[in-house]
Amino acid sequence: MSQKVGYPDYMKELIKKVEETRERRLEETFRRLKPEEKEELLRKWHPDYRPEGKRPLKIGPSRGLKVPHEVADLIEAYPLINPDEIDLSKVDYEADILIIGGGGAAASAALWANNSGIPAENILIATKLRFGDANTKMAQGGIQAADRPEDSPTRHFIDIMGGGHFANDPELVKALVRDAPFIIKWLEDMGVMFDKDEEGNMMELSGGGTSRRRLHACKDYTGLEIMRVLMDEVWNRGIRILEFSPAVELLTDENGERVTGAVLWNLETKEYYIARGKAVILATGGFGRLHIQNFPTTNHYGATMDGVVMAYRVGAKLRDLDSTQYHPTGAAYPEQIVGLLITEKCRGLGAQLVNIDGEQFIYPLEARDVVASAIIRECYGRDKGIVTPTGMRGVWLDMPMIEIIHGEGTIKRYLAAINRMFTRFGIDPTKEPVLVFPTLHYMNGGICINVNAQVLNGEGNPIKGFFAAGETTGGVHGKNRLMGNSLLEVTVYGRRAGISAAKYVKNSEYGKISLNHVKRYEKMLIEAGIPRKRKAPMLLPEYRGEKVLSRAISLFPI
Amino acid sequence: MGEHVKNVKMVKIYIMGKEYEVPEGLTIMKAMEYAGYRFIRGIGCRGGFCGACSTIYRMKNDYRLYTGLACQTTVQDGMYLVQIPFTPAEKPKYNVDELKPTGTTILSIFPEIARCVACNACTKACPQNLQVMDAIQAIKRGDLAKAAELCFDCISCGLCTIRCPAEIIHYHAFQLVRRLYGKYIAKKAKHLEERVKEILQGKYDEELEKLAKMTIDEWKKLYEERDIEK
Amino acid sequence: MYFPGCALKSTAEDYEKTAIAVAEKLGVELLELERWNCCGVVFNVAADAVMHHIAAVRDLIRAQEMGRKLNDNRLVTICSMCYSTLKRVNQIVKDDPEKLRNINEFMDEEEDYEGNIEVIHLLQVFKDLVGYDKIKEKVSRRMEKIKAAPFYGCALLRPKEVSIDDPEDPKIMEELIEALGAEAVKFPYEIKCCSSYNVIYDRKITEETAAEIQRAAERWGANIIVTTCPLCHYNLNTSKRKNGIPTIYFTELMAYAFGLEETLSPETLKIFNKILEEI
Repeated sequence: MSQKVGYPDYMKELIKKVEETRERRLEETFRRLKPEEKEELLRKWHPDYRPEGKRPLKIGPSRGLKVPHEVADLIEAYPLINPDEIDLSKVDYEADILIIGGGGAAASAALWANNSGIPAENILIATKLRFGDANTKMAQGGIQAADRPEDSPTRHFIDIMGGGHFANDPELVKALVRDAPFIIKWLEDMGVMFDKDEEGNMMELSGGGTSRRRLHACKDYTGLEIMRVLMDEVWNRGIRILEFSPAVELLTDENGERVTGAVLWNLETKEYYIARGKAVILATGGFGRLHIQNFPTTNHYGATMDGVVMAYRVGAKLRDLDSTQYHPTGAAYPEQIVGLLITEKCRGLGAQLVNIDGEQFIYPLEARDVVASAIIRECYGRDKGIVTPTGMRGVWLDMPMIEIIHGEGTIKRYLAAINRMFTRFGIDPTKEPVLVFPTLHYMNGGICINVNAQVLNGEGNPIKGFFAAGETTGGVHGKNRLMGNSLLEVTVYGRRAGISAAKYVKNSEYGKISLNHVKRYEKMLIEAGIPRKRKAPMLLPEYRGEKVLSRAISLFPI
Repeated sequence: MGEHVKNVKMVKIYIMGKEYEVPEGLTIMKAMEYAGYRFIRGIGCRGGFCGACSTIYRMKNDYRLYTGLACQTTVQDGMYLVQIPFTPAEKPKYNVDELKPTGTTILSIFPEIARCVACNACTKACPQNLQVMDAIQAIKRGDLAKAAELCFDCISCGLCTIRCPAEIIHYHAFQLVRRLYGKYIAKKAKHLEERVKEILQGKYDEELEKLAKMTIDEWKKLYEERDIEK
Repeated sequence: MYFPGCALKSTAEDYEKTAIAVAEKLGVELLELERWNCCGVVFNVAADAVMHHIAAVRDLIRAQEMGRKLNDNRLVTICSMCYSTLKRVNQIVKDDPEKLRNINEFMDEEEDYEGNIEVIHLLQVFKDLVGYDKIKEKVSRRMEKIKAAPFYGCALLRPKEVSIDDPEDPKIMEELIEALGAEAVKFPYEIKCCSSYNVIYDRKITEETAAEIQRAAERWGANIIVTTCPLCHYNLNTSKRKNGIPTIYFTELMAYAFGLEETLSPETLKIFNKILEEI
């Protein structure tokens, strides 16, 4: 059904400027910024550097850590359940390994736990929406691994450290780059269809902040392709899956020293389940749906940071949550797709960022935070942005350059998702530039873990029976993640979590289950004077219309 | 959503037959939320990648049944719509390591593919505009490379499967096709195998160990001195 | 333009390979349809079988689209079953404008089929367009030791409206075999059905029928059976009779006669070598 809108006339007029300069710009390389220039740009324009956006946490093992208000409001919040009303005497589900979450980290953990000798029927995945509903599926551009002769894991290491402003945990980075080629091989052997040339060599591209071409892609559906293969394999092996049942609280032994299960809540029937696991792996993803500083987001519907909230109550230490990744190129027009991701691969293939005059203002493959800051500066500091009919500002991403550089048909072949997203709304990215503005993309920080994916407490020691992997953890990316390292992180650390948890459960029995840690946390909240109405985890964002919400009441008794 | 825009034109839509007024220009998903629905089913990535929000609709004075993703389709005045929250279809279990990459393999696991009469209902239903029927036909004749290429952008929304008179479960069959292609037909990356071997032999261990123990200033120096491949 | 069909892309790859090679040798370029689907085999005889004609009509539309570019309306089929289905559906929609209108309306995503495509079999191309004299010229090998029994089966000859030759006494393959310099062995079962359809009910019936056809050809002095149909080919070669004579595609016989050994599979070459050795 035709719903094509395209650009309004005044924007078409502005596009002519982009076309006029295109030929000249094909020859033009915008200079890279010096370290001190980058620092100044970030300090002045990156949303992370606005002091009014954050506050220090008042309680818990990471007290004093500055985090965005939206994050603090969820961490300093009361539980959804009343621990005294939960009947722990009846256990509904039991598994050697309980995995909470349904994305790439959860699936990798399940497969590697199974590979490590845990029978499929003794592994349980409990997830909030459908199995596979996660940011993994939405990753477009690629997955990094230093596997070409001109590249090496050590180069990969340095790129990551620099991109993360040297705040990363070097041990976690080391394991990531060392495992990377093996992970790609594992995926290839399972049948992931990577972009390859006739001889089978991977077609690899550069990403922002990479010093070598190292991004392995499956068109611009890289995450979808990887996720669906992982899911297929999990299904084939008969690993148990419980959908629409998010965890609302973890369970610990009486002293809160070991994680022993979770309270799950059936979103549809509203009943709770007690699930017990000899080990628990947390793989619940990030926080895009918190809309930090009112930014739109690329993230899936369930990205509400539930895992961080629950783990903190158990005593897990957090890190780097002061830094949020804004992807430089979210869609800014049309309104229907505002905030959706336009992969960095576009810039990897040669598309430049240009302002209202048709001029470049930043080297397109600087690290993400730098490019995002430059776009914000162009729009709000220099007033060189393009204003949409709904008042949003953005800059042009000159997509047609890709066709000129790599030949006609490149966009349709290698950027099928982006092409489809815009043609649905009457914009032809092979002929027209697209309008972009930074969008909330990734939770750089999170729960502290070690290289064995064990969750660490305030003293830096592992919490027994507790593992975590993926976006919910912090340390791998420091203060800024590079493109293609999140798909790598979910598979590398998902695998490590699965292997470590399997090793752990071989020598342990089910622990006692209690919600004592929640009661203790509640006490801390009261003492700190946290307002009662704040509750967490969020589970799902609220998007209903204000008019409806203002008159909505609940009439059914439970 | 939408309320920040003043004086916006409203359109009438019919959600499962019930009339609602919603701002023009919203996606079906946002319009339903505006109307007061809070999604649990029929929602996922909100970005056109996950296939959770399959929607079917008709317009006034038009016999056609249209399909779309609620997160990628704009509401229009007079739209009658309903979401398809789930496609009932069991996924057959198989061990990819034991299969041969042939059409016969796929037909033995999905025999209903042989019932395809080329009616093309699947292709018409695809919100990704894929040539779904051609992909099924390619499987039928054993051309897995062609089939894998044609179905690569499938997001498993299930709309083709719901519409198919031959009761084919396209998206599960496509998953198998792609895995067989990726595993057996596409050539393996030799440079990758080589690198994995080097790493297992410990080639980078010492250097990585050293790097991990460096100071920030040493890292900074190495970072600024990098040569960058074009 | 030619329509390969599913069998030629899977079980009968040798058939397609040799067909293209011998046609090329004779100056005929077979261009595969750019886009096609299974013809919908088997032709459905139910009166209201519109649904089962859609597949074939869609292929005819693909031929119409490509034919417009090539300025040619002939669609060549190689497999007998595809010939039968496409030819019969083409005939029906040409004769019944109402039915054609229904099908065109159903397929509202395609252009209308106008009924102008002519479906022909490769044998007809060789006989009518190339001519047996030209075929004789291309033969580069002595073939007289090969005693080939043409086996037509059912799809090319029945019903008579779509038959490529006299449905009771066909000669088209016999003449081709002779043009190639081999001996054509006419035998009474040449137009018998190979009984492929019975596989669904009882494999044994098919196996016995195939064995019977083989025995008859042998009794009349043949040392090889030549067919146009991948199904007949399969059934006759798997009749489970020990030391029965082999069945090959007519294009393989032509390829051998023309000296195009490189297009033949090692198994087929072995068949020819064995015949020549034995005599």
